Amino acid sequence: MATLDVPEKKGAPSIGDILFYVVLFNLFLWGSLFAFLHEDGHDLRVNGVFNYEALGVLIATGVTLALYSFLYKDNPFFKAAENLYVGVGLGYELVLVWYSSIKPDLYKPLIRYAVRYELWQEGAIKGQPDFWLLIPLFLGLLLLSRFIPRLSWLSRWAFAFYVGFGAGASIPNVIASNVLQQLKYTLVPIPFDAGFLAAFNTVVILLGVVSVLLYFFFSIEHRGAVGIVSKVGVWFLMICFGASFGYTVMGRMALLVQRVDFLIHGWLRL
Amino acid sequence: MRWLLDIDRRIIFLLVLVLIVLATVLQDRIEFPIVSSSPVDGVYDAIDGLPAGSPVLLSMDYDPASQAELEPMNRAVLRHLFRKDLRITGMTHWPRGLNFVEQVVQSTAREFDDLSVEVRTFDSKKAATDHLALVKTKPDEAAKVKAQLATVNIGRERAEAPIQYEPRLYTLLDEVEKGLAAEPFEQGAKHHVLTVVERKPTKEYGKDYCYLGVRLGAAILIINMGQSLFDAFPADKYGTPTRELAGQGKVLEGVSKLGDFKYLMVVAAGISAEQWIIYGSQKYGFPMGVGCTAVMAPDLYPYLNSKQITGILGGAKGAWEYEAKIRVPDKATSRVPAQTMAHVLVILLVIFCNVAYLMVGRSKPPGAR
Repeated sequence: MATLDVPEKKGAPSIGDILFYVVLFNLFLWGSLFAFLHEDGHDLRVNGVFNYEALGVLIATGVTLALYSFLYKDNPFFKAAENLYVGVGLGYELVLVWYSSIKPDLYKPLIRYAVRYELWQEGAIKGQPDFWLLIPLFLGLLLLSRFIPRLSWLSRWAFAFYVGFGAGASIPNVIASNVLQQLKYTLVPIPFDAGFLAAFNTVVILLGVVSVLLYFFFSIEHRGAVGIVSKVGVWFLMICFGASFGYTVMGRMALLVQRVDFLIHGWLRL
Repeated sequence: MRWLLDIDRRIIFLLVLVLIVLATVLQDRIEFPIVSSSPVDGVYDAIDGLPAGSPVLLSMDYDPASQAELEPMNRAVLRHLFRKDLRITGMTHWPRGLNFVEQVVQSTAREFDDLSVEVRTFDSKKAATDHLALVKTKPDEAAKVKAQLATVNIGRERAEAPIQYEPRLYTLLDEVEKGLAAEPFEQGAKHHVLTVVERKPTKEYGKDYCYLGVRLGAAILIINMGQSLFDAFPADKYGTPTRELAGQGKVLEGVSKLGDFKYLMVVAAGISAEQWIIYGSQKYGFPMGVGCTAVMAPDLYPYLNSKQITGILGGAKGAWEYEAKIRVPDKATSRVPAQTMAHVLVILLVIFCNVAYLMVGRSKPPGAR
């Protein structure tokens, strides 16, 4: 692949790298100065108080530019921003999970209710903890035994419960929703009275389902008529992947457009 | 010719960036027609057909990583729900989105405040801009300028004379607090400066909408809600018992489980949309619509074809189509030029690469016979 830079020394940043980082830094520096100094720009103080929102915008801009610098090359700024994102996200989520789930569903009914009574906890008796919660607590702790190699076999009990409950809850519902309901609307009479497009759509869907299913049926050789139908299935799959790829491009572009929108209207206030 | 296939990808990145920056800077001058598609119409018609006062569940399962695609559609759907005077119950499956989506709900509810505004009309833009500066520096002097009182409700698309409602008022008056003025805007041949005198909320928390917050469990939570909403969510995010919110004249009146909701709208970045279909709508029998990221949309079309959902808002396109349907062009609509230009560039590059590939395939490498 053609590159823009010529390394001078192995391991040392090249002239192109240095130029890129200098340009990026200056873009951030002068852009931020412009963002504060121009007429419609950010104010340093709002109602006599330091404008923390503007500080947040600066940090967001710095992190955005650092992350996008990866498109040129992997670099320490990108790594720092990436690790910052992971760390902050994890810390934030941990605190939220404690306050939204573990504390109200486990800590309060099991431990605090031995001391205090909360009005909204149905079925809780004043001064008595909900002892049934010891079972899921025990199973949850068994899961953590995976971190101790000698005791990791204990986690299989918790996983067995997890998998068994999950399978029992999901299998009938998934079959009803993703198989039976889909079959019901695939094997329908062709609606000639609803117009050509509706009729054509029904035929195409039926053809697509049958041909793709036949393509994945490997118990008979794909020759003759079966081969032709399975090739039609391949075409349907290709078109499906193409549509999926097109949607993916749209999704990724939307994220980039939003970031650029933030940089221009949120940061620079143009 | 082989160099055609060896173009540094960073040049392509730069090309995309330059195009999007240009389109974003010039977005006000570029306009593309927006025509809604039938999947989007499905969601709109389902919500529009609900009678006022119907309880609706809105599951906002996304976080800041998916904000670009999902927040505009979430906001557009919320505006529609509030405008139809439906009783909205909000919730989320994602802890990272807990406070994030709460802000969207609260700020959208504020758009339905009745704003008493003082309208000062000027003949020139300069005079209006000078008056705005006076409001900021010498509010007492600015208050002496002759004004007319009018009531504006941007959520309900209402404005009293001397101004007329137009969608621009959304961006002008949103977040403007009492005593402050919005940027001058031109209507007809006049330039108006609106100073907010009073904000009177018309959407009351606990009566018109509530926010249950987050509970973990995904599919298990949905099954739990299907059996008893009060067991799944004993209290809302602020600690108010849900049984209290189900009292007379309250938002959850007549609702004790999932099947009591008249409609479910899921705005999801992950698999929760499918989980709501499989464990919620299919099991407990209520209609639902889905808003999702563009990456997920192709996986949900089979559910649309089998009428398990009424419609899909897929990615940014679904968002701007819904904004067009409710006549409030907002963030998604403003990004149409940039998005469209980027798509055109990608199409041209795909064509270019295929042509280049065919040309290189026909040309022989050096030394070949």
